[in-house]
Amino acid sequence: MGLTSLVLADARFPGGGHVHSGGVEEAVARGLVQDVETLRGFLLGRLRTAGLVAAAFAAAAARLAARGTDARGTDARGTDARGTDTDAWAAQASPAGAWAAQASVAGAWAAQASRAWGALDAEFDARTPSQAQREASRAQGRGTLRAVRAAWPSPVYDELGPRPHHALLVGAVCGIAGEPPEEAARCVAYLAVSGPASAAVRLLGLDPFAVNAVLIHLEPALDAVVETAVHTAAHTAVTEDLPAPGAPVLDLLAQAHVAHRGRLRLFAS
Amino acid sequence: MSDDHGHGHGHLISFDPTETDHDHHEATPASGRAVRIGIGGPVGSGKTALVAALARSLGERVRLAVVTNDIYTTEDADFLRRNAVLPPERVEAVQTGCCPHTAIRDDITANLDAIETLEERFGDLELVLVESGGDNLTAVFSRGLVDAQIFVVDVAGGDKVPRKGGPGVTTADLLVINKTDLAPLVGANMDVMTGDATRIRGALPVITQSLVEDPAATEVGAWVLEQLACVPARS
Ligand SMILES: Nc1nc2c(ncn2[C@@H]2O[C@H](COP(=O)(O)OP(=O)(O)OP(=O)(O)O)[C@@H](O)[C@H]2O)c(=O)[nH]1
Ligand SMILES: [Mg+2]
Repeated sequence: MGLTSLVLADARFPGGGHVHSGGVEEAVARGLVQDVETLRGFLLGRLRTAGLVAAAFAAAAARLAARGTDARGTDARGTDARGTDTDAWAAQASPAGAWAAQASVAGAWAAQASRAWGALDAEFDARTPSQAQREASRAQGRGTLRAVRAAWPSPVYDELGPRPHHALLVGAVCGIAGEPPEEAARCVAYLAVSGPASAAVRLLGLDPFAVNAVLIHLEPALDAVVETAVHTAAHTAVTEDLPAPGAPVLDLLAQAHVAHRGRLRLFAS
Repeated sequence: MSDDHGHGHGHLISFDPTETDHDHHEATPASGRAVRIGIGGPVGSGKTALVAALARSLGERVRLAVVTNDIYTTEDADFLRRNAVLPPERVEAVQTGCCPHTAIRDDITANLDAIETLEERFGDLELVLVESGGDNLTAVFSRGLVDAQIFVVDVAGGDKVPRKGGPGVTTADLLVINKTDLAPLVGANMDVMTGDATRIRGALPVITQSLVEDPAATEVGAWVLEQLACVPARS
């Protein structure tokens, strides 16, 4: 892992992640997560669903951001180093691969990139049926954006808007920093379980060593998620075809969490 | 489970997508911003009571709003709303994920979001008071979150508290020793408390007060107005 994905995956990264439990608070309130074993099942399910969606979109965003960064550099040099690349993202962003022939490569790229970011955002929304989860994802994106602008300045963030989905932003930052899509995917897949695991430690007073061991036992599942995410992001010609696994209970837990306003709530999600 | 909704049984979780509002979309952030003052201190020392006093005594003159950071509930926010100290839309409650000090010091994101939400909602705010969750003597606000901070300790917590020091007591821009009316009842020596506090804080100000005797928090109010005059408005 490069420094960028390490820092973004660090629990001490100041992006507002510590106030989100990823559904654990509601699951604990309902007795669905009670101990280390039930937490293990919860995390595995979350990793393979919300985690996979986030990882695939982060990988796609990393590719798109890296390309945008390249295109800008290319324009400055007046040549197109990537013109022969048959990558799916270029194909999508530029039908018939015509963009290399454009008089203003960067200008054409900007319009195409803008559409591609919009498509990623809309498709991520579509894979997040719970409004509470969309809010949580965008709240973390907004918080992360504040930290990110200070550390990794780039015009790419303007494409993402003021409240980007967290996975897209993390992917973009990794791409901008020159890290491969795999690291972006690993970072958000890990965050999909590390945050909820930490929330469970705080809420249930679980043994932190046991919970840490659970995270490490998830490694094969995490590797599989990362591999699928990277593969699909690289070989999917249209954004609509990125993975869309769902975990209805997570959606329902997220909705229930915000619905019960009167109740004790320590986490924002 | 308990979510019975009128046709004889309860669902585990009710989920009606039509119940929800539209997704929130951000307004363009207002230019310029309010002065931000943090109010920290141990549990029960009188932070919310001070916020309420300031809102009552300054609310007419200063366009203000409040962010609360309760550890467990929205108790503080509800108190301020219920007592009609401030209109409900001027109070935002932040969840701190069981870590009140993290939310004001290490990762201030949730609080900044709440402040910016209030600034966007009102546009012309002059002052935002941020009440931290009740915490220990080491909790201080990040300079990235507030322009100035008040640390509130409580006479009933014992007259040893200022002597113990810690970043809150030592470095806060204002130390308030609250509940002086209770000193005789708990055998606290006010001279010891103020003496220790001024010795440990050097030139930084210390105010002793009782909100029972002075519900308007007159001296602290004057200090806050001074901050409004001298903290350069950042944008
Ligand atoms: N006698 C006396 N009681 C006070 C004074 N100031 C506050 N109190 C009371 O002390 C109790 C706690 O006050 P709060 O303002 O809720 O304290 P807090 O610091 O906000 O508490 P947390 O938010 O729970 O950490 C309340 O019952 C107040 O009425 C005071 O000057 N004298
Ligand atoms: Mg309070």
